[in-house]
Amino acid sequence: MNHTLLGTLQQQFSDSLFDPDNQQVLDLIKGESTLIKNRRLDIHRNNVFYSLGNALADLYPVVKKLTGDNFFNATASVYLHQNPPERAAMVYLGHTFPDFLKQFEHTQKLGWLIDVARLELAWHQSYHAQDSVPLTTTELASIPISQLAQTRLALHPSVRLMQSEFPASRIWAANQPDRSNDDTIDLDAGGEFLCVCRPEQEVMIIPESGETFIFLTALQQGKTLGEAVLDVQQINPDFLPTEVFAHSLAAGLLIKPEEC
Amino acid sequence: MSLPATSGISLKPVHYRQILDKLPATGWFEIHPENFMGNGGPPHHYLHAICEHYPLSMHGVGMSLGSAHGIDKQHLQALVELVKRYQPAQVSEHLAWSHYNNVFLNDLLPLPYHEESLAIVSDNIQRVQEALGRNILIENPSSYLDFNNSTLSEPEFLTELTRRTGCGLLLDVNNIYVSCTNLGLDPHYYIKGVPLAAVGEIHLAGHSVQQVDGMEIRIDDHGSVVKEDVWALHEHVLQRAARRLPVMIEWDTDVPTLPILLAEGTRANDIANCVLAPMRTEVF
Repeated sequence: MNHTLLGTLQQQFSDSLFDPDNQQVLDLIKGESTLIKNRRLDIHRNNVFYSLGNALADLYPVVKKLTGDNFFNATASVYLHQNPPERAAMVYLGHTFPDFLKQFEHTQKLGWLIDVARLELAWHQSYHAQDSVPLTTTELASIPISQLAQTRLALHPSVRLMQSEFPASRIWAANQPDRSNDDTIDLDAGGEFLCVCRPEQEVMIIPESGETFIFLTALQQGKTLGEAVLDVQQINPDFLPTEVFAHSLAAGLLIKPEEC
Repeated sequence: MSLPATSGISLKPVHYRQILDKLPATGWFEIHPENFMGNGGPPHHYLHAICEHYPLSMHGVGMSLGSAHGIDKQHLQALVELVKRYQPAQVSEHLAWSHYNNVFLNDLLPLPYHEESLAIVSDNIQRVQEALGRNILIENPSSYLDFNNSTLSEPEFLTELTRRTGCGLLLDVNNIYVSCTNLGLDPHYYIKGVPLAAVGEIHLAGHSVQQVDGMEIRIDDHGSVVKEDVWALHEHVLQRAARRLPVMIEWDTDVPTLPILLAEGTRANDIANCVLAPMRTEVF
């Protein structure tokens, strides 16, 4: 706590933004009546939660579209009152929103919605991730074959791996602004292994095979190529990494080892 | 390096590609550094490309210079890094607070003007200026309420900040109009109290008018063209300042097409040419 006049004012002002029934700060505000003072204060109450709500909606446009404006706005308001941002840069707002949806009583049973939120967060993080030059085929070929199994290759900083029990990426794609919304998606159509990445300027959402997903997850955990292959061979003893390498290089999912 | 004394406009993501394709005639662009505090990606890609062609102004909205508990270290460090990366011609911030008790309130909240707040804001400005290694401009806020225990007027408070910290002023003419109308003050009298020699930039923007319980309130929402009364007040400021200044057209909600934004900038240049005709210099 800050025991200055200003610190006290800021505490009371802040309290009245979160709880309009807390009217302590009104004594400090000039005005002819409580009603008028409250109306003036309302402008700030609206600014704070309206602007934060908009920033959250910018991050989760598909969740908003799927739930409708009223439901989304009410949910966002509860979330933001419980989890106000700590940082001024809105790029860091709302990263705990999928976790919130998981325990919020009105959404906790909507696993598909929670996974769409996770996917939107992964997209957002990939979009703003550190830039890096993807590994080329020539660079990979320059690693002596005898050292390949011991080599650790890092994933591109924009890569986010996500597993869903639902067709999350199909729901996401069907609800993009440029798509007509008449696709029918069966929620029981099966799960997805997703790789979200942005090797250059455009974010891509790639549905992967389970084998590729396990391989990439192993690399993300810092395992060597040899260990990654062994991880995949636990579900498919005949697995060879040739195709995964070709796909990862083409999609720009890897970077040079020294950039790890 | 300073901003050219001509008009500039807000840099908006929807205009990135069009700006790079057409390189439109505007003196400079202004950004909110908070929108570029992610590590990489398209925001940085486009900003780098646009900075190859135009001077840049960084106009912060999140430093919370009025916070009683001081400046947020993490935010200051993020600004220091951005300034190092892009070397903007100018850096500015608001006379307001938005951070309290580790919560960022995402609004420019009002300050009481008295000796204690003056000392706190001065300390905070100095801290930012030291970290950046340069002086910044401080913008007058748009106000919807004022406090009982203020002992200084806003122009007196701003004047004292420039004297104590060496900061310059970013005079937001729309904010003067909005605040004075909302609080029953005379905007011409306000302008008389501002040390115009310290002004390094002017802001113009649109605002909206709302009726609240029989009271007319003007909201500084940056969502429309500049109002005629604000253009008139801007002309008055230029006459008193008697010199060209960088003039920024802000537009943050319901962002219009690029030509509409550029047309507002052209109007600002035309006014400067008209008011300051005897001192005509080459328009950037």
